[in-house]
Amino acid sequence: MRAKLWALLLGSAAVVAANAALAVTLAEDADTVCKSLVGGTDAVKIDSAALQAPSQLAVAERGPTPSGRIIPTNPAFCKLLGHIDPVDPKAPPIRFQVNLPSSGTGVQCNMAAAASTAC
Amino acid sequence: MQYGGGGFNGVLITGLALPPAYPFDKPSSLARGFVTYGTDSGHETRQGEPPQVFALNDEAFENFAHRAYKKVRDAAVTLMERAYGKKPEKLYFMGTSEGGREGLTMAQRYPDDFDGIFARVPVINWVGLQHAGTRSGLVTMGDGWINPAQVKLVGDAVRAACDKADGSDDALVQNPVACKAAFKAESLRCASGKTDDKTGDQCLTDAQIKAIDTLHATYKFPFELANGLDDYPGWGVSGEDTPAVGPTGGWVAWWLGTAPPAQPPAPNNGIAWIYGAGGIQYVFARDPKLDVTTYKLEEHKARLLEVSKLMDSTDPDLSRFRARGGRLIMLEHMADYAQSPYAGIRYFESVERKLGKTETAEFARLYTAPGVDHVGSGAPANVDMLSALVDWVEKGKAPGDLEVTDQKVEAPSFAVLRALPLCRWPAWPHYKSGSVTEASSFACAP
Repeated sequence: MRAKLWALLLGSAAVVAANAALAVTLAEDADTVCKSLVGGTDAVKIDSAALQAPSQLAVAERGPTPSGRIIPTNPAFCKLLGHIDPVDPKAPPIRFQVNLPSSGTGVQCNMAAAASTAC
Repeated sequence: MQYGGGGFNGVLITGLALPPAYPFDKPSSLARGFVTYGTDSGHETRQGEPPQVFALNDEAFENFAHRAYKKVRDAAVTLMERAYGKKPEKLYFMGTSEGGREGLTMAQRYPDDFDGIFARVPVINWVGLQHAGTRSGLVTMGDGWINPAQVKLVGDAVRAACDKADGSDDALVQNPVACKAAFKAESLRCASGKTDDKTGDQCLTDAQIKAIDTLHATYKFPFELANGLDDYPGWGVSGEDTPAVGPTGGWVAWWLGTAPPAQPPAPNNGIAWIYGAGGIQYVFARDPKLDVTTYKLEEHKARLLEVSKLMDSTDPDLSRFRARGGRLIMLEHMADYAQSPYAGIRYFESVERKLGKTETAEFARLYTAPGVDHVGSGAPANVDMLSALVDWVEKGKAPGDLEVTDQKVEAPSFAVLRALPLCRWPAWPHYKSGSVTEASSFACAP
């Protein structure tokens, strides 16, 4: 199963050759792959990348909205904070956050279950 | 899965909150295997500064209008490829309020980029909304302001006029469209047309009735804006007295505040005034010192047209989004006083006119939730639209009437206090029999 998974992953990496810089994927070695995403050469830059431990459900005492009080249970994930440089130097950058579940495959687990042992 | 923003943005959307309208007890999107992401849309609101200051910079404003969401979407896809060795199979966008507008603008401007979009209470007809919100503030500047006790009076009067129309005496107006036609603020007029010690908060003055009629009325522009629209629909009725906490609530939260509108807007003013007056100053007139009472929109026609093109998100041509298999779900809350639910209803009907009713039903849905405020309080509002959308996009299972719940904010069970059918526009829940807290006691019908 493991060998088959590798073949699948390598196969898809070969197809998207431009993105084959990483030998392993997040599902294989979450910490290494997560940290390797820092940096960037074009206008898009990742300023920080850190693997987050799974967290438990919490309900805040107060919040602006009912649903805003709920902090849901989350699995381990790679948290990326990045920005996109503006064209006009006087304009602020676009800041963004991307959360990559380390046990997922970037698509819904039910769809990817065949190719992932993590689901 | 991309999360939309809110208000004027300027706050980083982490992608870690519950998706819009999501039931409190369901696993998070990350736990379900989704990559999630969000953005501040290209500006950061500084403490103590009006939220519209960024609009003075063109690039920051265009980022807010649409560019940031596309740029971040593309960046996120690249990161997913690097992390997982392949592209995501499907992409989803879910947003509430401004985030709902962002969802619709993605379907309109970038139809190839998302497979499923959920737009909840979208703030479309944006130029109209800012002007109508400002109008609602101006009409309450003097004697027209309505105090919280009188707001309760109006809420009670609306329920007395319309609550039982669906067959149940349940303190909920199930058909707020019919109620808007039935309810007359005039019925609460003080005998003398003004209040005195004797009548107190038990009736409304002529100025207050005029303010309510203004809130309910269409806002008309003297020229056409984007997509041939020249007005903003008035607000509806019901949920006037939904308790206010920040953006949660009815008239006090969004329209009236706890004090009459001030210049510059004060924190205890209604949010529509804070947003609208600041919008007039920073977005349209681009004059932070402008006295809003002296604003003449005719003098800023070119800027209004420019902003309308960027922000209104009313383009009914979703043919490309439809052709690539995109699926859209819209949800309007009928007791929303932040934006008028009639704007989204009108937009959906404009898509039906453009593409055909049957064709539109193949890829788009509009649901309306009675009694719910802008953020999901006041009546049952929670629904797993993520599953509805995924089932439609990935399994071809089109959603029919759904169910909304009102849940206690208490872990871990988040007990359901009340459930109702969530009907496809233009149907409403009608009472059949049984407990009014059970969805099965109601059926959707026009």
